Amino acid sequence: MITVEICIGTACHLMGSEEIFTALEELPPKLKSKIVIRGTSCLGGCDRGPVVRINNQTYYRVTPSELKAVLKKLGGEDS
Amino acid sequence: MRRITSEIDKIRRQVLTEVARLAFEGRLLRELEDLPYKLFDNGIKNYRCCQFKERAVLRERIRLSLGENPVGDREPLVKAATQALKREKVEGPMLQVIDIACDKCPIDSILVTDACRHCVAHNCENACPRDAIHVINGKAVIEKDKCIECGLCVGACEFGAILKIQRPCERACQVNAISSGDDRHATIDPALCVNCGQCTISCPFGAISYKSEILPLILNLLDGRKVIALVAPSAPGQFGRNISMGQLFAGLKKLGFAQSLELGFAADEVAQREAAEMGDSWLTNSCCPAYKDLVQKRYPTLKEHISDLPSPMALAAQKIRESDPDAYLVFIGPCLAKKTEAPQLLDAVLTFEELACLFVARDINLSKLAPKKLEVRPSVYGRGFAASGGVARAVENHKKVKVERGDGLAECQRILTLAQKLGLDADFLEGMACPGGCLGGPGTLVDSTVSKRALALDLKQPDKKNG
Repeated sequence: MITVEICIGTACHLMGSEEIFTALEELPPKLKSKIVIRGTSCLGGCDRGPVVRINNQTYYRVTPSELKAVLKKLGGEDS
Repeated sequence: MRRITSEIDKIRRQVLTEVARLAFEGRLLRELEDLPYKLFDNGIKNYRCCQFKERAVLRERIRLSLGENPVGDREPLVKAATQALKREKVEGPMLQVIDIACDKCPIDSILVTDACRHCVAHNCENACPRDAIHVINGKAVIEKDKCIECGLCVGACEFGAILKIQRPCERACQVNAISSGDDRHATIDPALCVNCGQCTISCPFGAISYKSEILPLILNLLDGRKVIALVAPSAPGQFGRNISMGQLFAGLKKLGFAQSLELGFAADEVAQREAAEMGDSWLTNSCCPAYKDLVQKRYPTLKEHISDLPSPMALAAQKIRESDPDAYLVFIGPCLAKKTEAPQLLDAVLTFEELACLFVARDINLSKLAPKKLEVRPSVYGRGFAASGGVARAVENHKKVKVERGDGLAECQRILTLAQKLGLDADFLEGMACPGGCLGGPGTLVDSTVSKRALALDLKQPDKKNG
């Protein structure tokens, strides 16, 4: 399983963390079934939001497209 | 269109947050000149031709954050800050074009693309009323001096090979207030503009933005003045996933607000009085200032149909003023038109975006706060004012009437044009300038699909008591 923790703190929200949730909803069902999504706060790095932690690795200034790429790699899907 | 947090939004919010931080900490005059460099080093770079232009645009954004006009980057920031610190109130017009950020988008508005199949029919030629388009060497070519940009060829081409290109700001403006002015910069005609602010979220270069009112508010908070927040019904869901209204109110308290009120209460009263106001001829709402402005400017013969009632914001402000004349009143909502609706009643009007920047500047994380207990909530109808259809529903709750709805300025104008000629086949017309109602406002923080869900969830909570 892949654990994705998305910071829902105000600083990250202001930089668009809500769209990270939306992006995850749009993943292919097969990949989505391997992912556990959790809202959390705070992961630190408030000036570099949105902050997302995937399997204990922290990512800063995450965009939906970057996140999708990381997850597809971890989920073992090429496309 | 889906409201996504664009790079432009992120830049505007970072600038607002940093200006707020300096103001809260009394470092504005000392450190403001360094701010463009700090923001640049923090990642706001590589969008434009060079670092000098990047910082020049940032300086204009800083001026707007201070509530000052852009000046073409001709003056030091400290001058803008000195003026801003003396000002009790930010003056309109709030919507401003940052000339140096405007890309003067080319306006060759009819364009034949490579998708032209040099067909046999030549529908484009036949459709053109000015003989301005011809197939030459197998491709349609437009003679610029003959073309009147009517767009008939665009519709005539079966391949969709001809495009009508409009500047994004002009396309976003449903009242045709934006045009290409001297030097081809975007200009806003104040005689036509209704301040809806949709242009501010449409320009991909971020060249149209709004003057912020955070500074006078911060100064009054620091002075220890009694500051009261009037919170718009569209607040649920704006400040993050699972953030409750109670947490928002706790955050406002922590920021220094003496008191916070939900405007849904005033909306309840407005709906009741609007239902009572209804006479023989049809009535339309007065709560959306951009829509009201539209009726007054473009449909003066229909003016008499606008409800005489003040908006919920103005009504609540009037009442508080009576009992508490010295309080500093701040409206907080999704709207830019509200900024100029009732300057005599409100001391400041902030967007949800501006408020969130203040929270971040003060390191207030709403998700960590224990919710403030809200003893009584407005009715589901008053709270429902936030979404398109909500005002009409609230009025219907008091009186059985036939309603018509205009969702967004384009639709409102269609209905009003018909109403002007043929009358309206309804008792009540609900007009909302922003698509989807207030939830689609330019000062929101999330897409309306997200806030709609949050509002529906919030409406499940009872009116009377709520934990």
